[in-house]
Amino acid sequence: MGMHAYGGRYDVGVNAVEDRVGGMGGGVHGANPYLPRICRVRRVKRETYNTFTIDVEADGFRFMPGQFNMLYAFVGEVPISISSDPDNHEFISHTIRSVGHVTRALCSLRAGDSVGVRGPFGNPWPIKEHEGSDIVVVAGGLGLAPLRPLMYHVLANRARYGRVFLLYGTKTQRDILYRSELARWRARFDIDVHVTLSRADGRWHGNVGVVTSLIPRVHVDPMYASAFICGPEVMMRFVARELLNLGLDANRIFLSMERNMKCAVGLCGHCQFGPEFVCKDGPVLAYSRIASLLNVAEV
Amino acid sequence: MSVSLEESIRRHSFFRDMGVGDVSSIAVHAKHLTFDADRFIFREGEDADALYLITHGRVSLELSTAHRGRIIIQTIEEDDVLGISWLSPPYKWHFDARALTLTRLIMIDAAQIRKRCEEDNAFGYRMMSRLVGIIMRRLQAVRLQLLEMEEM
Amino acid sequence: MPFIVERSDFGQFFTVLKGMGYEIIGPRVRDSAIVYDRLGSVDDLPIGITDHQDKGVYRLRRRDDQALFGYTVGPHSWKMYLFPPRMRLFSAERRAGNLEVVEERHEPRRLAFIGVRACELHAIQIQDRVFLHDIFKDPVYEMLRKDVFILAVSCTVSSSTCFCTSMGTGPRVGPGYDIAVIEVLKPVHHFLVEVGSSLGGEVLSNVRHREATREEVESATQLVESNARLIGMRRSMDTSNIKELLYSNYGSKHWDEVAERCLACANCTMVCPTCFCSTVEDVVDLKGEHAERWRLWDSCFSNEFTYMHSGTVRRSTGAKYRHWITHKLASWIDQFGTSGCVGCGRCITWCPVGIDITEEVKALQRDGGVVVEEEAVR
Repeated sequence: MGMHAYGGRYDVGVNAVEDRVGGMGGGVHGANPYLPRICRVRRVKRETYNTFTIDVEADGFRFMPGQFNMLYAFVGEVPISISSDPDNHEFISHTIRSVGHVTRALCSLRAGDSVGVRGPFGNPWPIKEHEGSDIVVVAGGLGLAPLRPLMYHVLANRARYGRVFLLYGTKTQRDILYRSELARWRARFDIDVHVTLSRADGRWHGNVGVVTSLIPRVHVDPMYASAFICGPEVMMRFVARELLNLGLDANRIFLSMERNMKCAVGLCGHCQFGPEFVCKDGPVLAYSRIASLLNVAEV
Repeated sequence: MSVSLEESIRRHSFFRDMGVGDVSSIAVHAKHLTFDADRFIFREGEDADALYLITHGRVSLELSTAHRGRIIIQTIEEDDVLGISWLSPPYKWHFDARALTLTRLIMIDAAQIRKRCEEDNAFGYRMMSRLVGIIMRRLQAVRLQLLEMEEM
Repeated sequence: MPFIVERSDFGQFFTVLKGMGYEIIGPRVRDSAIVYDRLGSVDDLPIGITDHQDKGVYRLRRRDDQALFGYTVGPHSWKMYLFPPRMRLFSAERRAGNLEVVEERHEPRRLAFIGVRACELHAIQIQDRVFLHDIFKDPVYEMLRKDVFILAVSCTVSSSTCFCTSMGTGPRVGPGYDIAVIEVLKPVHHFLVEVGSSLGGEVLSNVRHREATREEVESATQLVESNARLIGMRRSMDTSNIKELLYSNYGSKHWDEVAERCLACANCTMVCPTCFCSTVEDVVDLKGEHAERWRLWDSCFSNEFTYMHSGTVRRSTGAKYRHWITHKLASWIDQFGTSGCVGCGRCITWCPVGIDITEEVKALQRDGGVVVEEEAVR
């Protein structure tokens, strides 16, 4: 399939995004999109040795699963996906790995401190559009964070979906995110949760192997199954390929892409991935739309 | 007894769709085994003398190291195949295999499989295609694992 | 209905616009180039000056006449006034964990652009599309753009690097101006003037003018048309299926070949009148109490452009050039419904090694076609 499949889509979607740009109580639409809103930190929770979840007071903020915020910590700003329950109107969560100077500054915040927030931005997981489907959620590493709001939504509306599978792969035991939630979800009888590690020591009695090795456990009706994947780009490619082998439709496999984001509003040019601005056309994109670009180096 | 063993082999994904003759010729060299959790099925360096079909449970392939203790390389599940080192010389296991849960297996004598493959090349081809499929899957997984190590 | 303004009266545009509170920006000679800067009067224009341009070459020369617009486009473009190269987005104060953000107040400026060429008017309209007509508006651009007065000039001279006729952007000025002129030197130095807005009409009403005769209209138009023919003969780009051409050549070996010449210096992106990429810089004072966020022009040729914690995406020069030209000529169409190239030729002139976008497209049309066929056979 040639790349010209992108033809003439620039008009499409502008209306579709009307809904999703209104998060900041009143909305960023029309207002100055570069200006962070000051939010109060409610809690900072350590998830793993290097990963923290920062909850900020919602204060009228609404978002959709898969969207992200730009968090401003005085020394700079970084894009962070929103990882809380979209129906939680008290606070919004951001799970952050402390790896650079901005994320370090964010992770050292304490309850009561203030932080700058711009958002929510980006194309969400089209989860409502896939009601009636079997749902396959595949997460790699920190990729579980933007999928957590989707899981909350699906579980809160469990009857509207068919079978639900969550496959989560991460490096080692100490990298496992949201342990108590995973345990709770595993205890439910209406969802299949599988966790695998890339590496484990003798104390681990679960799966070891890459996340694709869990795919044979997915028993869905491929005609009516939709998949939502987030993780390292290579992992998403492998997973998408395996799901295609299972018979899933490329139009019903969604990936959350990552690129350098500065403005988050499609104006700075940094996050381009072919014709897509990952910040506004993505981060969630249908596999069918980007499959041919995923195989090209340095796009 | 041997009928139910043959039936178990036929139900395992590895032998599914294989001819009745193929399966019964294998079944005569097979037996059921059960391992409690934490028991070793085989150890690194021992003779690789069997192909195992996992019918229940989970097995880890691991390496015992001086500094990092036991490292689990991969886990293998029900309906999967354990042990391929018998395919080529020196026919020694490369890793330890340990039952993580109570595990039931069908053990098939590897020397007999090799012998049948030699004698009946068509059977040998059918066996090898299946084994190559497994090897390919595991190779792909290892490649992804290598890439992921950097990114995740 | 076109009008005539004599050369001797042309200066009145400046006085009228100034009287209306406009700051006049236009071409003038500085640092051996024609740049866009504040103009005091008509005498600040590069009178009797022309530019010689070629791949990697730009030289000013004296003309043997007193033309006001006898040159083409220089290293500057109007984007520097609508999308400033460096500007503060906001400042922030921090006291004991408390953050306060102070929005930047921009002084409104009323700018009159004098001497906007046809290709440049298109470039402004392309940036309008990017900054004003997408999901999010750029508030700075909107504020600066709102009150701009445009006096456009149809080109009667061209450089060897011009290819506006291929891109459908010139040399005749299209809609979007307040006043458009064609400069006629002989037999008497005058301007054929067209009004494109009520504001333009208001301005012209205060400048001495008369109705143009049919012959005057024809002879002025003729000058632009013969220039158009010259441009078309000298340099062209075949834009048929250009999007498909570039999209189908992500895997071409051609990019490695370009990379051997390209220095990734970013000149092409800086001089391009449509390139809109920017980055931000956060500056914090030593006490850690005051911070500012600045927006700066950025280029897709920089290494930091695609930096992520997991690695930089476009590291090789070939991938950077491929991104630039593919964006400009192909993905721009999907993103904004228009090409990102107006054929002004700046990227050709200002490339230190003379990489020529029109030649690179021709090379892809030649070699790219071969690659596609091979794939079809396989």
